[in-house]
Amino acid sequence: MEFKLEAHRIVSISLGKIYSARGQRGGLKLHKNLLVSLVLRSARQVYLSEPGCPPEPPPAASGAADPQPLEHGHRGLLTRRPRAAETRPPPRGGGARRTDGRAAGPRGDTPRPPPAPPARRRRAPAVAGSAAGLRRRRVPAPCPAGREGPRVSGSSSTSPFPARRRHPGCRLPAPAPGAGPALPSRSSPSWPGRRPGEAPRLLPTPGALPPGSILSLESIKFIK
Amino acid sequence: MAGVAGGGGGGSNDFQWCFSQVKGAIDEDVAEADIISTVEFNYSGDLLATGDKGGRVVIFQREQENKSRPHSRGEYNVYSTFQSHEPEFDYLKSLEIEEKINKIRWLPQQNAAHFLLSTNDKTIKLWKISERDKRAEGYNLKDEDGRLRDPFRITALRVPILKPMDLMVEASPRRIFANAHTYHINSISVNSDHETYLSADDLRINLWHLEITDRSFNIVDIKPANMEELTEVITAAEFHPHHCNVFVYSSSKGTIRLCDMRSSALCDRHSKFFEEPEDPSSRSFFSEIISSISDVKFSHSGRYMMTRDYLSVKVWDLNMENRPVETYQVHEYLRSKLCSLYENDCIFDKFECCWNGSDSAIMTGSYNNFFRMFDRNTRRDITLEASRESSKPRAILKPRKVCTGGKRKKDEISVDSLDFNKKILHTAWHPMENIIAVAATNNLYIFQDKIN
Repeated sequence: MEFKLEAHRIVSISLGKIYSARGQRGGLKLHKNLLVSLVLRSARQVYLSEPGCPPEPPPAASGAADPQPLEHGHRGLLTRRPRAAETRPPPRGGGARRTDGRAAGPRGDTPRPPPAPPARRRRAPAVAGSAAGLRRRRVPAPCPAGREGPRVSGSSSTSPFPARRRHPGCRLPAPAPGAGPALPSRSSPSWPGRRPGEAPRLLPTPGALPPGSILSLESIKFIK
Repeated sequence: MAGVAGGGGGGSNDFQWCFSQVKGAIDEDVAEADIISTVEFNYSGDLLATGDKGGRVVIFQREQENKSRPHSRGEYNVYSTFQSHEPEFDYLKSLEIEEKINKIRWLPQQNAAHFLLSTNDKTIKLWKISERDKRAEGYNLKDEDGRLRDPFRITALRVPILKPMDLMVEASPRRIFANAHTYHINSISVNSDHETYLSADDLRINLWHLEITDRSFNIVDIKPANMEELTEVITAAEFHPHHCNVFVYSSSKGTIRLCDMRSSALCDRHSKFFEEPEDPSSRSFFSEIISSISDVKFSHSGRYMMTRDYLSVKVWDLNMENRPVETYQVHEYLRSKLCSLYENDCIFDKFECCWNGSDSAIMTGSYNNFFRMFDRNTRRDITLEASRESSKPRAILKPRKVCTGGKRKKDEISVDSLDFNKKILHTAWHPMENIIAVAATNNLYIFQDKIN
């Protein structure tokens, strides 16, 4: 249970970071937001798992008998398909690419309608409660005011997400005054259900969601 | 004193570091614009350049050694200060472009002037720093104060003569390399051919010629067709010090790719791929973040390269791809604090690392204004602190120790007392001597080895 609380907390923090990244000077930091989205995805997987036992792999990957061992799976776990850099077809146009002194426009970008703020995707896990419901999908147009969702104008500096994330049976631990957050100690496993010698099975198996599907990093800056 | 440089900074008995100088304001209240964002010695070590978040570059020059004090080393004094980059606004994307100087790289000196490249997130500039100590006087067409003379009043011709003047150091932008990066530039690296250089952003690496500003060649592009499939970004890139066709780039997944520009014009396929298998027992929510490489540096010899991730420094032999030859833990005591460090954003700090001139020692920064040195030969390491308290001239730096648990000994500092706002991200080592420059927020500390 404490692992779920930990994961829940990390999800909240991560969402807060992504949300506040919009207003940062210098624009969206792709690297940082990518790392945050990876953490968010890992934490979400843990959070959605049944308490006390390792989570079932998503149905899409249920054919896989064993999750990939982590030493080779570090890449495999996070990519649905081989790295784009290595499997992309031979260079377009042949020869060195040349930029003509103007901004190198994004190649291969398909224009997307500005998606709703990330919070709306967050509602799906709380409602569906199962990994099967976490397929990548287009988010509908922004909800009218009054429904659940972050305030997109005049947003305050505090993230609205943690309050909405709470649901019955899951209370955030009250922080002890002056103490840091409850950190998993090194000696105890930070992953629930793992016994010594057993590889953690909580991380998504190949075929599971790639990190980018949680949110479109580039699209965040279109959110007004 | 090449022999001393070979001894490294590993804390051996006959080698100690002393305070030399500190540059910068003493105020507790630090303006964000004054925070140093890059430090770099030039090829001879006589010039030391710093860039800050306000877009300024300050160059220090080492004074000639004083004959009356033969044992005192030359001090670094301000040589030139100029505003390299200004804040800009990208109207198309409604984004502000920060003026923060991300990197400075010197060009090898070819004449009396000095050249350096400085870059912010989007634009690279080539600056010429030149001295002027003579002035022409006695022009015919203009007065001494520069006003044009009335041509009808000129009745005689004279030849202007050169007169000495106070030394003036001028910095002028000679080239501006703009509009080639959609994402934020994280690295620039001058090639050993002294004609080209590369610039790397999160997803692409471009090759430039120093003389040509309106064109660059894209040599690496890892941007996926669908951005939702993005899994890694480029975090650093560098040219090999001797082979002008070889460069490396590191990624946020902890991998390094070595590319050979002779194999194809587009280096999307690597020639070598360096990755250490992950230890499954240390897996956590933050494993990906702490494995992201923040800096990669070739050794001077070109045989090795060093990478810095959040908790460690690794030395790789270019001939062995499956694991590093040496791994040094910088601050392993932080591994149990990763959640807090994630919360306060410290886990995203990008530490740099550097080699000494003989490649026998490496240095990198940490928190609480600590920096660490590792001697590769003796395998000894030392933790030192850049602080005003130990800033007396030629004061020997006392090694520091972090207490990780249990009883705290005298002079040790406990992990919970570390100041995570005092971080040393940028350090530089003189190319030939044991002189180091350490950037601590808005202050630049210069340390050198003890004179016997």
